[in-house]
Amino acid sequence: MLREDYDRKVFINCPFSPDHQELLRAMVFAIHRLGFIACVASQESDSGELRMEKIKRFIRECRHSIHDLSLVAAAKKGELARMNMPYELGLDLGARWYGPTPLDQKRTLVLEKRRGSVKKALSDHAGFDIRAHEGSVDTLIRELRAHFYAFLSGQPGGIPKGFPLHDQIWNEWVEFVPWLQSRPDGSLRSAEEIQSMEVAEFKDKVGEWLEAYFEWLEALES
Amino acid sequence: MPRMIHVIPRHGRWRVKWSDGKRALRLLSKEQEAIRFAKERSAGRYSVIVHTPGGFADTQRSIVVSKKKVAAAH
Repeated sequence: MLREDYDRKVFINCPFSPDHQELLRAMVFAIHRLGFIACVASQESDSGELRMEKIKRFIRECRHSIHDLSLVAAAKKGELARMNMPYELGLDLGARWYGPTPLDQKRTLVLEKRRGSVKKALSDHAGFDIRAHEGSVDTLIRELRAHFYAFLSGQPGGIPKGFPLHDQIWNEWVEFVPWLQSRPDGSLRSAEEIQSMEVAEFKDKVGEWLEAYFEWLEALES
Repeated sequence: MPRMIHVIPRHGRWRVKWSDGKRALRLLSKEQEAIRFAKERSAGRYSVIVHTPGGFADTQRSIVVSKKKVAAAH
């Protein structure tokens, strides 16, 4: 059995640029669907806490972490690569390698866009398993599920009954999104509107939908 | 959960399925064919949600039917 909170919390370290919002939202959805709790630095609004303090707190409070290093390679000539993500990965690995128990039991997932891109930019990280999402929500869900499946299979309780398949999570994601996009008058909000929603609110909506969805499934089966 | 028909691009094909269906009604290679088929099956009584590759509903191409109309169809 997993310990509450620490074992279930997943610190997400990924780009917050507009073109990355779709992946971030899908990642939050998949994490919650798999029975874990996503923690994103932007989910809290407190002008009195330094961003780095918040990140350090998440690293301390979350057993799991996901670091998306898609932007370590500059997309265009003259553009600078983003260093925040590798910096936070370094902090997280430092906590894992040098921190006291339970920090030394932390689990890390490093994601890249294209296979091999991180190896070129961060050669010191060579030899570690890195999963590629190819910029696709579908692939991202598959990789996240595989990572958490591998983690759970090594735990005393094993894989929980009903642990969803990749296709199942994808099907639920395409059910969830139009539900979230629907306005009370029946019209649809744009994807941009949803992607600009506060992460904390988005997480609440995921929880609300999953609860209603499981009730609906039960009603269909009975 | 309101019943609707989804048109979903996946693995290079267009999948048409009911929201409460486990299997696809049909797999089609062209988007327009898939939307036409979904519209026929909905018969104006259910929303047809056309998805983007990331899963979001395409607001331009989806056809939304009011909740009252869907409830009346049940």
